[in-house]
Amino acid sequence: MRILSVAVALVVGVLGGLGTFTLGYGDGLSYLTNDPTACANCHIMQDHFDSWVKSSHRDVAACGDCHLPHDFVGKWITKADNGFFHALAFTTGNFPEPIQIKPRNRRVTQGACLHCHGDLVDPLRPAEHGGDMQLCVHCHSDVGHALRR
Amino acid sequence: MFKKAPENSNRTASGRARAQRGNVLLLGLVFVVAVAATAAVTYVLITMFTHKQDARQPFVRVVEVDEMTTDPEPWGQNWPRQFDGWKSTSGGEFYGGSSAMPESKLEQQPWLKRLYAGYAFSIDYREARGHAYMLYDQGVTERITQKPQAGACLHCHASTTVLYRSVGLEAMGEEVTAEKLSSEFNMPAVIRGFEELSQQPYQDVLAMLYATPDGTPGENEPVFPQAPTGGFTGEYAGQAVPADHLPLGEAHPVTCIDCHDPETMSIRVTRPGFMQGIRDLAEGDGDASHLPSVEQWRAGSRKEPYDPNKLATRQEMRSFTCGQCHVEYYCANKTTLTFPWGEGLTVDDAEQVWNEMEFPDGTEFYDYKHGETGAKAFKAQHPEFELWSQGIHARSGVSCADCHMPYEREGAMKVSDHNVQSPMETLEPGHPCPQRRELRGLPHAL
Repeated sequence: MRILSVAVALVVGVLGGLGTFTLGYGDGLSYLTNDPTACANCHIMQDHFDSWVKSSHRDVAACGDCHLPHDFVGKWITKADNGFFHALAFTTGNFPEPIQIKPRNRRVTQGACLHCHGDLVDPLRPAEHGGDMQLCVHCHSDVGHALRR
Repeated sequence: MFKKAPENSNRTASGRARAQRGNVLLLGLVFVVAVAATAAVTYVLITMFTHKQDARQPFVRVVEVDEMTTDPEPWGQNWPRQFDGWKSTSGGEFYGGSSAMPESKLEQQPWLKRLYAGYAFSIDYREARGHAYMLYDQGVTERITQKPQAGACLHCHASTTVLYRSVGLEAMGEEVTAEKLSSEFNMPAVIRGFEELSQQPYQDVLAMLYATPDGTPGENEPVFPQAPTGGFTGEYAGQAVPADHLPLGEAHPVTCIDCHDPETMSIRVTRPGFMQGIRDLAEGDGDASHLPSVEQWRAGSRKEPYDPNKLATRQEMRSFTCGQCHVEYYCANKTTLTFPWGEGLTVDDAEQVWNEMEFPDGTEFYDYKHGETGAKAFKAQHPEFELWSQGIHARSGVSCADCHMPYEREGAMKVSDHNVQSPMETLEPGHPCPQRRELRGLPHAL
């Protein structure tokens, strides 16, 4: 019993130490910020970061402004959702190349376009909620990430 | 259960034993979970470390390459993944000998023989093979071995920039030194050299190419076997070339240096034919809506001629490098290599250019006079760049390389597949476009 208790304490201690170190080494806390460089931490997004730096929106919108909902709950749920699945995909290496936005995140970016430009494009939107329409980026594909042409 | 005084000691003992067993179980469970979690965290830490290492050094430059290094082997030491991909264009093995040549289209489709009567394509016309074979197959095709062809053919079948630069410098009255050949690309000299050589006999220019330094003095073992001198119907038809008749040096099919700057590795245009062709396109008024830098140049002052190496976007360059050769052209001995782009990139535009063109001797332009009817005919070569320009992919900003050299991920590294081939070989059936997959499933096509 005593040996087991010591062993458990030891293992939990090792996990705690290793976990804290890994969190620091991976710059884990940066993901809680709005700093766009955090998105390029894991290398995959480097090209997307670079093309954002050259895009027309670089001075007005960072990663999170387009890729996260603008309400508190939605923002943190989206962060947690993407954080977990991105980490899983990159650790296991199981993801397609070039990477592809998921439908859920696509809805987020469309919502972000409308958050700022909603008034401007209001007359273009379908009369009924959920009606058939093109995404803004269908034509404006290079506003967030330049050099696509 | 411990509130009440125990009724008999037996039950107390068994209760205590049970509680202890429960504690042991709980502790054991925590132990197992903590061990598993520690293993998982360690795994994450190790992959993180590996990816950080990958990202730190995308490549190690173990040998120097410069503008003289047409030999791909030193490049292969620095960029082994790309080099392996390039070698894979041979299909894994390089088959020598005439029996291993790909199937003859003339035998499959006998009408072609009649259609091309009077033209070299009626003699020998086979299925094309990968990049690795371009120089070898040109060296053994009976179009070359039975008919005198021009040196301009090598514009697209060999790594010729050093030869062109060297001949160009000489023609411009400059002294040719190793320093001048290796330090800068010197496009004017390359263009001049190409002009000097384009109408000389093919075999002479090939011999000069063998004698041109390739950046690896003393090493003359080519990556792929070289075509026997005189081809398979010429001097040494069907037999091994005698040991005392080996070529003087190495000649290479299109290699690293033909698309990459040896200093920065960025992609570039090196071919005089494309430089002139894209300039003609920019200066004309043909549709170039899929080429933003051309449109931008047209809208500007036009003081300097359009230069793709200075003005094109990276995404355009990923098609331009291919467009140096995969185009419609005239390339025989009556005039220099010409891309017919002055009026635009459609087939009608090309036809108009050819119709209005004259050979330097003032006679009417044509590709060949038909052997039976005597009609002067145009023959389209392989206008892949022009056909791409007409399509939805060009309009949507998808380049040649996006599908023919798709990106692959190796750890934190992103490598484009240098085994250039049909995307049908790499994409699974029904696989969406690698570049613009977000367009999939949308209600309307463009």
